[in-house]
Amino acid sequence: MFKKIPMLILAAMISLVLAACSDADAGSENGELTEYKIGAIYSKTGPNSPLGEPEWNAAKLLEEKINADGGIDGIPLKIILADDESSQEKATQEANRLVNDENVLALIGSSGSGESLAIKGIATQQKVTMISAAASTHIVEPVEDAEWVFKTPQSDRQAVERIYMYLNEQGINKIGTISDSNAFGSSGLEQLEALADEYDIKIVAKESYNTQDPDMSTQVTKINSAKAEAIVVWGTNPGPAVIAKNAHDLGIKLPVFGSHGIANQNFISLAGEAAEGVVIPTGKLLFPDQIPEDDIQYSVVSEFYKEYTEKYDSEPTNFGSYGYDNVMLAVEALKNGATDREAIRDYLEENIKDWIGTTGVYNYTADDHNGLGPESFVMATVKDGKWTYIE
Amino acid sequence: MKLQGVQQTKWWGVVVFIVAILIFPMIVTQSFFITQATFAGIYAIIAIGLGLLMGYAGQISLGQAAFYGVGAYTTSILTATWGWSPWLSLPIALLVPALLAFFMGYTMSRLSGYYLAMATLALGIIVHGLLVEGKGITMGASGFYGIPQLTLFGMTINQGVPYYFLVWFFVLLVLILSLNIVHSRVGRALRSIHDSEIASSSMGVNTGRYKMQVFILSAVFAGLAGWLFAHMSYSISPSAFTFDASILFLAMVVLGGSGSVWGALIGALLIRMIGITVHTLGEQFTFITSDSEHVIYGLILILVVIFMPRGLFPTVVDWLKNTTIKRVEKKASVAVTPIKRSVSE
Repeated sequence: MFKKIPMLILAAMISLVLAACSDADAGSENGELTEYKIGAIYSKTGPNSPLGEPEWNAAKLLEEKINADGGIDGIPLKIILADDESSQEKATQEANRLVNDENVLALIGSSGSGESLAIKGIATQQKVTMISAAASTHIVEPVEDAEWVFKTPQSDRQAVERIYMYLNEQGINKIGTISDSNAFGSSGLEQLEALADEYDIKIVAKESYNTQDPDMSTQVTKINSAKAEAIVVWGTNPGPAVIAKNAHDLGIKLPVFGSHGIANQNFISLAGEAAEGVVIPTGKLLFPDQIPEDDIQYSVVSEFYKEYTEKYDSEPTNFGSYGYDNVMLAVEALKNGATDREAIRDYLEENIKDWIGTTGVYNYTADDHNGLGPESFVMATVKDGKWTYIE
Repeated sequence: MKLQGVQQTKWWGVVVFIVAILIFPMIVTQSFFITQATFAGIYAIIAIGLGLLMGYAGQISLGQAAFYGVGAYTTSILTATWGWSPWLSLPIALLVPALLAFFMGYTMSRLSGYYLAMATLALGIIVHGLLVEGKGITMGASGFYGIPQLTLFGMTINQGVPYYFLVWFFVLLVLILSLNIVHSRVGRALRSIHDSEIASSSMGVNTGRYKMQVFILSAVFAGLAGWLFAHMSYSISPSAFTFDASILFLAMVVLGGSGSVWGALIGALLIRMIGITVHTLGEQFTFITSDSEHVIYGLILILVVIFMPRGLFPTVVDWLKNTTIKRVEKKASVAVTPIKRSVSE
């Protein structure tokens, strides 16, 4: 009999501790909206932090800026930021908290595809609009499953299309691919294969590597001996830098194409001299000063870049642009009177037409919750240790 | 009538447990904690299975996440790709991990010592690798998506309180089943294996068979947890079924006490509470990041192994019992029969 007393005490203790935590910040809302609450989940820590950090910063920057300008029609904007630590489980918990405890009007995030898919489940179950900052097409496809889900970054599909367009211009039609075996790389490879016929490209060698592999000479040699005319590398740092170095050291003169995943200065510092001449598709935020002034996005991009670099000691990178567009799309809906969860969804789907963001020009429709075309990418190459815009 | 050395299930604890489950969502209405408690329930199911394996059969599994993942992916593929009802896929999601454990255990049961630990460690890595590489079936590292939700009597079981009750209902079933096994002939046989395999086999206990059975049972529990995890959300990815997860399950069992079904349950809850505490502190102090969690888990494991090798629950219970009984002794000042040392329940 006495054995169970401790059980009871423990159970009571657990209940009490949790109850104490829960009362701490119970918000009071009396039907009237005194502020617009948006929940933002980004991977500020963990493996996805290079993505999440600029997105997080962009959200903070915009919240301050909008409120300093008097909020949205006089009502302040509140962005509740949550870190999912690059884990699906944490993303689920935070999304539940934001949707049910904080009663946010919309969710933005997360940085990674896995975490975004986890949040998608909750957004759909609870009928809350969600705008993701992750790359995978599966977030907004199939459309029947994505009623409540939008996303801002270009999909791998558009990046591949942009590279293939460039290859056609250059008259290259035999390529060797080498992709990371992680989610990013495999999704890229899928698109490279799917779109090859459409652009009359032949994949003569298909190699892969693991994210932390220190040497890819074997794969590069294989691609070279398969008589490819170019190497297309799909991965994020450090893999592509290692490949560029290996090709350089082996004296292989094939042009190297990368994905938008290496659109950062870090790639150049990792690859050093070998980075010269590597070509990638990228968003315009990588080099706002090189974008021609008649570009439709010029003012949005350069203004955000200026504000970001003034406030933080780092570059916003393309991820910062996703963070910017995520917040501004939600704000756009709120500004136009879409102030409940369902209205925001409807507004985004019906009224975002030729909307100019930092990533691209968005056209959301019922069938397309990504809303971007391949022209939202520009091509860039490394020249004298810097990413340079290719006209 | 009580037989010397025979322990019976105390239903008292189960009742308290049920009351605690029912009361919890009434006191704590915040969705964040309900979600935490739901995950705690899923992990508790795995921990109870692993506790039986470790505490009773004396075997260590470093690959529980593999069975967890196999269960989750089995039901995901059956329901999303093949269009089965989730309830129909439940038995299969239990059967597949069981078969996997059977084939593993078939050879392992003849071995003793740390061979099972090593083999399960490898199994965990193999299964994780297959989930990542089997793109055609598992959709690879970016995760499997499109998993349908559970419905019961025409109602969809959403995340939050409904799913919390579903998960803890299954925890209750697992708990009752485990308590019964522990207090049955099988349980006594298992405990004898844990204490001395040679002694029990010379007493006529088929040690290999029992070890294998409990190994399969722990895999079935992990499969059940996987089934619950998969239908909670829209997608799952291999990152939830890594070696890290297996270690976390191990930590739950060691912390709570491997010689006790209740211990594993408490261990799962404690690990979750540590997680919440670190998370809350992390919001106040930026230097506390998610990595601190692992530091704390490690520290706790070391402290538990050094100071209470039997785990938290049995140690605390014994201590409480001793103090209460001493008080009773003083009052009555009569000699009491020596107290049984362990509370293996």
